[in-house]
Amino acid sequence: MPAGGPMTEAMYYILLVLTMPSHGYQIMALVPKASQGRVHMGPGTLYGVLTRMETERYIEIVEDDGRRKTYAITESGRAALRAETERLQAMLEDQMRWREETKCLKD
Amino acid sequence: MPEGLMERDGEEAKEVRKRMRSDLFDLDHNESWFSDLAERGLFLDRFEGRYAWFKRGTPRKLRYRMDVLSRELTEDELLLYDSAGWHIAATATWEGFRKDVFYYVFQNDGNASVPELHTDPVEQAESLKRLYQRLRRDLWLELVLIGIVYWFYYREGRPELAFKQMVEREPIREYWLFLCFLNFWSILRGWLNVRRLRRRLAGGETLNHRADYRRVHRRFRMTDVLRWALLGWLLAVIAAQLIGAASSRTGPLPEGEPAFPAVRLEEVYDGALSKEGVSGNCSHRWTVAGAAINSLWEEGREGKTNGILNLYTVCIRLPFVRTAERAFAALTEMDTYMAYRLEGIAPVETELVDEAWAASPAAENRNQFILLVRDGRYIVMTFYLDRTDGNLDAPEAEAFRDRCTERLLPMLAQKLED
Repeated sequence: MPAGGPMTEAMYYILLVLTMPSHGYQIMALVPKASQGRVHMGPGTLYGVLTRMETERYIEIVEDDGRRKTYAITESGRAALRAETERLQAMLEDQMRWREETKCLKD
Repeated sequence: MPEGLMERDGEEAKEVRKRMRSDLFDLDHNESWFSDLAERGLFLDRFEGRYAWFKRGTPRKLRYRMDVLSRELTEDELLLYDSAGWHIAATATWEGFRKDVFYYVFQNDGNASVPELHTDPVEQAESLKRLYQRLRRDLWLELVLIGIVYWFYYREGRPELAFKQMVEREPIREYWLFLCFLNFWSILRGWLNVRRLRRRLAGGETLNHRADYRRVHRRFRMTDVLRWALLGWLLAVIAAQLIGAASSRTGPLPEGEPAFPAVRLEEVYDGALSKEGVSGNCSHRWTVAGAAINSLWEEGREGKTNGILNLYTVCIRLPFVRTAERAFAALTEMDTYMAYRLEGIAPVETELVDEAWAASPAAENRNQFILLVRDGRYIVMTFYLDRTDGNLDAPEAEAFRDRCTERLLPMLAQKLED
């Protein structure tokens, strides 16, 4: 996704879990935990997103012992995550208000 | 036997190599092909050059997935793939200026509970972005290359090119251009493929890992055959050119009468030559077009004034009368032949030969007479320079031209008849 645009689910959850510095294995384990088991991530998607977000400077490598890299969210990553959360929240609120007002949406 | 199978050590070989299609990035078709081969007991082991090597084993169902990355995976990262159920089968790198692309082929033993390698199609579409950009860049570079090759070989005008083609036939230029087009086609096919995959993935649809690859394999085999045929043609042409070059000879005069129709300087110049007589050389060669090109260069000096005289004759015998007609038509439209300017050349009415054209001596050299003749399969070009009367002015030059035509044409016609 281009910088500033809506995020993919994979990108959102990786940014979210990287608020705690983690390496690949940890991210793979933390994403299902953060999404309450709803999102499972394939390794291809994980490294695709990590490489891209590192290029876009949403995340950075905070430790690299030659074998294992530890990633963490950057300031611009936090800003992007905040903006995306607000957008999702706004969407959710809009949906609830619309349902309330029109009574058109059934569960 | 499956298509493209090439075995190194016969039917029971432990390893089998297969020609790999040039578009390694045709992910869905390749994944499907590898899976099919595994069901036949051939398991992808490695890529080497243009080949993929497979190890023989007990046929079983395997899932293959390809990953395209802009960087190499570390050992630790590969372990993570492994622990997620995706074991590396083979890897390849497509190197290129600032845009290396790394391919990884992973296999899973058919355990359906293992999550897919790519769980997010939109993210997978993003992972193909670098490859897409690289192919687009290469496409433009190949177009520029075609432009350069075209300019290099075809910048001369059309009649020059047509004449050269009919007489010399230099298929090397067509070969290069054709090869460039073939490469362009290859890259274009790759680029269109990646664009197709990206569009599908960006629309949220996962790849069809069991896509039917037979049609694309057939198409690739055709291109491959064409490539080999081109190489064979090139080798045949080079061999023909080498034989032609080996049989060509140039010898100094005097060496008796040249074995082709040409008038001699002594016959043309109506006067006494200096004591040193005539010097020069005579050459003969064959071209790939089947034409025999003979030339005769003679140089002498006038007896009293010591003014320069020279006569250059090129006699081309073409394989067919029709080719000679077309080549001659192109010749009369050309601006120059070798260093001789042909502008102002005009037809001469004659019944002695099939066609004859003579040049009005040009402003920059009024002492240069040019006569172009075609008779049957023969094209004879005569370039005669006579400086014995000093520099001629325009009316003198015209008289010189007519005098030369009247003198040379019957002599040449007689020799052509002989």
